[in-house]
Amino acid sequence: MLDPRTAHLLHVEDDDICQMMLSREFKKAKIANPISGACDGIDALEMLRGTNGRERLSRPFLILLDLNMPRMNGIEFLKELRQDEDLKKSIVFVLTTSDSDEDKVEAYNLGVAGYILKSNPANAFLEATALLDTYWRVVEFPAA
Amino acid sequence: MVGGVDSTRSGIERDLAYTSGVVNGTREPASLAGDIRRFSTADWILAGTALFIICNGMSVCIGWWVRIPILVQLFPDAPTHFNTALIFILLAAGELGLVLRRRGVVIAMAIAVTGLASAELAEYALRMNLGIDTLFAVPFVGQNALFPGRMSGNTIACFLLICGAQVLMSKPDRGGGAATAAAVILKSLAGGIAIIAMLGYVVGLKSAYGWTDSVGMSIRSCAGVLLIFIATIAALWQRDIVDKPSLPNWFLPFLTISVVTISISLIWIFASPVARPFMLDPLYAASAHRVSLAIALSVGTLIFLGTISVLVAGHKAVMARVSEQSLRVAQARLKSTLEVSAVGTWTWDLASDRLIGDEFTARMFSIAASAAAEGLPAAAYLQVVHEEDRKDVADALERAIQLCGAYDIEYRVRQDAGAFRWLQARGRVESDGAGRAAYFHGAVIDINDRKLSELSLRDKNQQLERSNRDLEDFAYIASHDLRTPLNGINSTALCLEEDLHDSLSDESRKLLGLMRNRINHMETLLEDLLTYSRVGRTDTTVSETKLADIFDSIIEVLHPPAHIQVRVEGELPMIATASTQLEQVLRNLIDNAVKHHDKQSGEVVLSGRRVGDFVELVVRDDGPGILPQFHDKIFQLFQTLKRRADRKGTGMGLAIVKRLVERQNCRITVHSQGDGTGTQFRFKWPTLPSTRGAAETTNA
Repeated sequence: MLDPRTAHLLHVEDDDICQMMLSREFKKAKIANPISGACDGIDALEMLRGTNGRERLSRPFLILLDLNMPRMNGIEFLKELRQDEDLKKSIVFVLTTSDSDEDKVEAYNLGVAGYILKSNPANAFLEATALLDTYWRVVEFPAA
Repeated sequence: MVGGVDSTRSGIERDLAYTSGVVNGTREPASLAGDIRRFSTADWILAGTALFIICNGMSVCIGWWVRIPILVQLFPDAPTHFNTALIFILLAAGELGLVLRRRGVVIAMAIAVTGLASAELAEYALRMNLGIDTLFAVPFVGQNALFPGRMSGNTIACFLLICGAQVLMSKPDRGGGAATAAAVILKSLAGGIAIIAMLGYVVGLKSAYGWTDSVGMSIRSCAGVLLIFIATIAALWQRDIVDKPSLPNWFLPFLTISVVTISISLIWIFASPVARPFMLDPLYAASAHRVSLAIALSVGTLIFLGTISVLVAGHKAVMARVSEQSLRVAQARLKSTLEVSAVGTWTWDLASDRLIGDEFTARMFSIAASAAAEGLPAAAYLQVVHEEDRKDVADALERAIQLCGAYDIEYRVRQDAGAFRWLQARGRVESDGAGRAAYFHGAVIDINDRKLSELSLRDKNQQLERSNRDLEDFAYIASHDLRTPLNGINSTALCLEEDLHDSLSDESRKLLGLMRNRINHMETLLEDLLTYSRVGRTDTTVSETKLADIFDSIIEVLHPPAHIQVRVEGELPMIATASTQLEQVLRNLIDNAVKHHDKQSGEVVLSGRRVGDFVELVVRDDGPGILPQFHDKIFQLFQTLKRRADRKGTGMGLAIVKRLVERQNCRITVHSQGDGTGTQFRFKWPTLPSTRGAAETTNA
């Protein structure tokens, strides 16, 4: 069972200001769960697999994914993720500025749990935090 | 056709065409009605005469059978015998056969006539009675003659002559050939005999009309032969002389024979001692006088007929010259017109593959004018066409020939200097009588200037479209990429404000406030820029909407302040259009009007009406108005007329409105004095007619 207190959050986002904002919101909401940041899809995969000298991310985890990133963007990362035996069941929320229908369709096709739009920078992270907080308290997960 | 002028088809040409049809095996199945339809005036003359003679002959026959003397003879002692009448009927039938071009009929009649006439002749020669005189009818008049019912010698001679002429003229080649000339001679001789007989009756000279001991040639027979003779000459005159510039070669023999016959007959008659009583006048007693009189009369006749023929020939020559002249003038005029319009003409004889082109055409294709005028195979011209266009041209030509239709194509031809020119060629295929393509006539037009400017225009258009697209893409991407760091700045500012809230001085707080303010402004700017770049890219589906509904949805979102009344005036029409875009226009206009209203209370009014394929909309308010000198400026990007501090918008609203309206190929105008009496924005918006609009939505 996913213990809300131990779940690790992986924030995949190239903009460091956004990463900082999310951490601030977590602190304000007094959520103690660890947040790790990856700057793009490749970085995130290394962290998830523990390759390239990185430390493997502790399970269980939840991924918060931006779409517009250099080197490997969100959609490409998702495709990789779903092909990896070990990682394909990961829970992913998309948090992005992109309003395009194509991205939404593609993301849901690749099995994201939700698609959140960063419309208002002030509220976006606050709401995302509230969502995550409620999510891992309310939702059940399989034992594995 | 270059140089050729087609006169109206005379009977000869039609005969020739008919003949060649026979020879080529493409002749229409023979039909009486078809032949009658093809009758010329000449044919009608002959047919009419023939029918008249047949009726005459029938009446004589009936007279003999039913024994009515008046039908049989006009003069005592000179009845028209039954056999004579019969042969007249046969001869007339032969004439009809000639006219209807049934050679078989003519030959059959000729055989019958020759048979009968020869039999009668045999009777004379062998001095025995073969019984044919009374074969068909028993004479009840003229019984005191030696051989009752027998034809006179003159009549037999005339019949044989006419019948011979008919056989000659029934030959298929009925042009003004030797056969026609010979036939005319024979008929003229017959006519001559008839004239002499007639004159004999006039002067009471029996030997003139009765060559042998038999009864003489009856008046009726004379008349009949003369009729046939005159009809033939009249028909030939009509057919061969009336439309032709030169005299046919039967005319002179005819003239000679006529003159000779008339002269001889006159001499004979007046020299005869048994002439009319006035001839016995002592003044004319001397035969010398009579002879001189006769000679004078013949010379007079000669002069008379000669003058007629000379006049005819002369007239024909003059007419020919006049028509040649007017033809030359017309040709010259045509040539100069074509030169001025840079048009050349050509004709292609498909059977012999000879393409004749005029000077201009030759010049366009770099071919010597003389060679072009003579005619070259089409391949010689095709060779000059640009390689890339050659196949298309060949295909188009082929298609036109197959369908016997029209041809219209543009292509390039190589010029001497290695450059090429654009030509437009148009043409039409002319088919022969059998529906096969025979000739290809056409023109070539030098469209080089026009085509080059057309092409350059197309290029420029494409360039323009490309740069437009690039601009749109740029605006879209730029605004998108600019927003990310802006969001970062905004967030950082927020955080700072949050963190330093308590420890900030008033001054610093104000500074931070200004920073936040400008960041928001920039955000709105970027958003508006994005909207502007997307103008027209968004929803373009056409649907039928009530303008009133659009208005209502605008009001819902806008939430106008209480002191400003936003309403609709009059009935708004129903339109079929890209409603999303129209909604954007109206929203921006109404929003603008509300935002800039400066009074305690006021109104913004929308009205519209249908004008043909458009709907004319007006948004007016009673706000401060816009000074005339700014009427153009307000539509520009990022332009507002207020100070920075009072600014409520980014100044893009009207620019977006103008862009959207102009995308529909319409114009928007502003009417205002700027003195507080309000503003009116007027624009047209296309609306598709209801049925088409509905069809578009079902097809979309």
